[in-house]
Amino acid sequence: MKPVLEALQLARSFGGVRAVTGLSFAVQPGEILGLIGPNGAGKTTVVNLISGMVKPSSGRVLLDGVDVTGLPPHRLAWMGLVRTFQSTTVFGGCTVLENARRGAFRSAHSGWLSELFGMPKARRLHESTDRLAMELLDQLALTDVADQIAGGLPYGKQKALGIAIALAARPHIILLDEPVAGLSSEEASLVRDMLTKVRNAGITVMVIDHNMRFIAGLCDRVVVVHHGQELAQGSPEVVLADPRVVEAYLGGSHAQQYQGR
Amino acid sequence: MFNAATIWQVVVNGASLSAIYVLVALGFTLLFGIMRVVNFAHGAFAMLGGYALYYFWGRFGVPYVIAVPLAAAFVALVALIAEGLVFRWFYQRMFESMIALLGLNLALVYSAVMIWDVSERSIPPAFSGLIEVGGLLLPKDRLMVICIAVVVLVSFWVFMTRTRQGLAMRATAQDLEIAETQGINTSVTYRIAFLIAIFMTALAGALYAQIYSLSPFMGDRPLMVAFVVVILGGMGSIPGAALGGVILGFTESFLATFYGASVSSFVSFGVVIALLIVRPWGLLGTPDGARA
Amino acid sequence: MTLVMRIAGACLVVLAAALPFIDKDGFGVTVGTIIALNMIGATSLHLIIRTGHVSLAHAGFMGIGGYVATLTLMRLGWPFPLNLLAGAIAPACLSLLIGPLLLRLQGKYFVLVTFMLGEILRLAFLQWSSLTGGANGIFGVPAPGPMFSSQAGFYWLALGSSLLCIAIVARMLTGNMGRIIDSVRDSERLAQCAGIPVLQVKVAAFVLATGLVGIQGGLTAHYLQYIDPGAFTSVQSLSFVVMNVIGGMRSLFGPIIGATFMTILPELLRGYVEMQHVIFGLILIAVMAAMPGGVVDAVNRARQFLSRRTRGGNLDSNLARVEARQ
Repeated sequence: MKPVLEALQLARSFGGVRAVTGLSFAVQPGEILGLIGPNGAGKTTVVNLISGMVKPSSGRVLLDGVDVTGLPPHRLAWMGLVRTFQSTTVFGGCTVLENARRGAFRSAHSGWLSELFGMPKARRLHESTDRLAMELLDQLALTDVADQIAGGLPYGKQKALGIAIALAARPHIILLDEPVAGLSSEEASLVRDMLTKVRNAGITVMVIDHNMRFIAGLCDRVVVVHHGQELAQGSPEVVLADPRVVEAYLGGSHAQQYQGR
Repeated sequence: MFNAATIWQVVVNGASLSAIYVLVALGFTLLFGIMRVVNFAHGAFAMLGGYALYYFWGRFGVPYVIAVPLAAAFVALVALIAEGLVFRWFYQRMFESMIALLGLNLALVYSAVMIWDVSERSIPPAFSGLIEVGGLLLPKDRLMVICIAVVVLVSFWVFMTRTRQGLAMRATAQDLEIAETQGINTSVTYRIAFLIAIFMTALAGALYAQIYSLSPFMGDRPLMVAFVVVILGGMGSIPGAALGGVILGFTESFLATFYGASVSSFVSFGVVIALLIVRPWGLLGTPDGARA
Repeated sequence: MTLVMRIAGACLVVLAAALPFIDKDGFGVTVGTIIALNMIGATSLHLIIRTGHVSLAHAGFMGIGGYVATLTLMRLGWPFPLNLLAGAIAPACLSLLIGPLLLRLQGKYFVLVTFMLGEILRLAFLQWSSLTGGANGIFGVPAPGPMFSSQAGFYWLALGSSLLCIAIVARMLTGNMGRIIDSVRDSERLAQCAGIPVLQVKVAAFVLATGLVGIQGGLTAHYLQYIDPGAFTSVQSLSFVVMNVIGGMRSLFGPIIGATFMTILPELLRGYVEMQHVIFGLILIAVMAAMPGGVVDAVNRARQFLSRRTRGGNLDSNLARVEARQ
């Protein structure tokens, strides 16, 4: 089976700093892949590289077998790749429902001309988008706050809304940048369940986070990044037992904690 | 055209222009770097410095070397009123400060028109003639400008690097919250920064008015210069303001002497726009997500 | 917009159209013409502001429109309204060229570049005297055709153009187009990831806005029957920005109110030109200190305050908090 997303020998330097060097991995359809690594390992750069926010110095990115290296994020979104952000999770200035509608731009867009002239095709698409937005809020337990201004929501709900915005674009692969950073373990479990449901609905998921327990409990496979390079790849148990990974994370106690789920 | 005498003239003019420009730009950059305020009224304070010199030196006969800094200090102290009434509402509020200070500029400039009328005046020259230095003939007045400016700039540098207050100002510019938690009294720091900034601007204005002429609208040019220099050097960067001022001063002197004033303006603006597109954080600034 | 607001709006338009009949000495019509013209600039700039960028070059583009309209009429013999159309297309072409470069820049850098750009344009108008007449400008610009040569006739032309411009901008800011623009302003990153071509949206708004203000330039040249670089300074660009800031930058009503206020104010303070400027400056300071969201925002907050007393709801306080954040 063709991988949904493939990174081939990705490299990126900033000035003299080699943030990412020769990183390769593939995300198989229907799997949940985790990308972990200690702070400063280059994870954020990797996410930015595969989501089109930053152009690689060398290497390629393939989406469904198509070379998308260097394409800007909005083109990738139209090709089915969407991501969330660690900061700026939501559109702070409008309601939760409006946030979901904005995320659904792809579904609502019938072409610039028909938008401008308010053609019936546009109007029908808008109505179905509204329904899509409401459904998404429902799935993410946000219906009760649908009319609240997103900027005023508690942190956990903002993170959930961030996922809703990404899902509204009807992606077939979603990249999540630190989706549970700053969340309590109950909230993190909720996110884990949500993402499992997302995968079961047929969307491939890639998660980047620090939280070992979360990653180990959610992902089918894990890629460990350190010093901008791949350190290990495999199932969570195997990877977390790898002595090199343990060493990279300062001390063996961490790996022992997460051996069993 | 390119003979030695003209070249020397260009160099001396360039140096005196640079001195004035660096002073103006430093004041502007202090206000932006420390208080995040875009001082659209900067030119107006330069203009007031010019009028103050006109009175201290031109009317009251205070000795020139004292009159210049005295005029600048006077304007800086009086400007504290503006600080308390206007500036302090807009610290750390960049966009609102732009519009509000634009309003202050209007108020100051047109008050000056009401007080002094629109006509241009000239400040009586302090020194005329040439002095011979190492076989070269240099105009005394430009040399004086350079000397005064150098003294002020060196004092400023010493202040910023050797005193506690200077250190406090640099800390506040880098990170306001951390500076506050370190016990730095930000309102005192702001006020000192304000005084220094206006002092330098008024000083520059006094020197500028001496070289060119004095009118309520003379501040427009220094304001433009401040923008250009600060963009060149990097907004909020003090060494950048110094570098930018020197580059602009010498470039303008060269271009204006050989190609005329309008070519000089076009080139300066063109270079600035190109720089903003290619390297918006200036020569010595830091890229802070300046480009999408 | 509620039905009440629509009816009120329609009444205002009818009243405005009837002005030449009501106003006997022609003074109201003069002021009305200038308000209508200024509204074109203010509302077109508003479109740019809604994408998250403040342009200080707007008067420069107005100047391009004015000179092109004048020159195509007087030198090439193009009839009205063709010359006006040329005056709209010319600045739009320039912004199509440089927009993709400029609009990548972050907020404060964009402001500075457009400030410089405005100055370069003004210098160009001044220096290119073979084309523009230099500092003296071009005199004897004929009236735009027999229909619009009377005071009332031109007023209706200006009013009609202004309403058309407002309608175009309004169309861009409502419905899904408005949603797209608001997404871009609120968070470019998120908008990109939703599939919105952010740079293209900003460029489109910029091109449209500069085209519209080019029309104001052409119309003004016809109105004053001359054109000179003095009208296209950074002061004029700043006026357009101030119209938006005073009225409110979050809603199209803002520039409409702002343009009216800024045109009427000098009339109210007639006589003392310098005092006018001083007072205006002080008003700017006060407005930015007390109600940075402009008149529209102040009105909204007042409405919320009143309704909160009757409802005591959570939504309003959230709304107030967010709107105060700007």
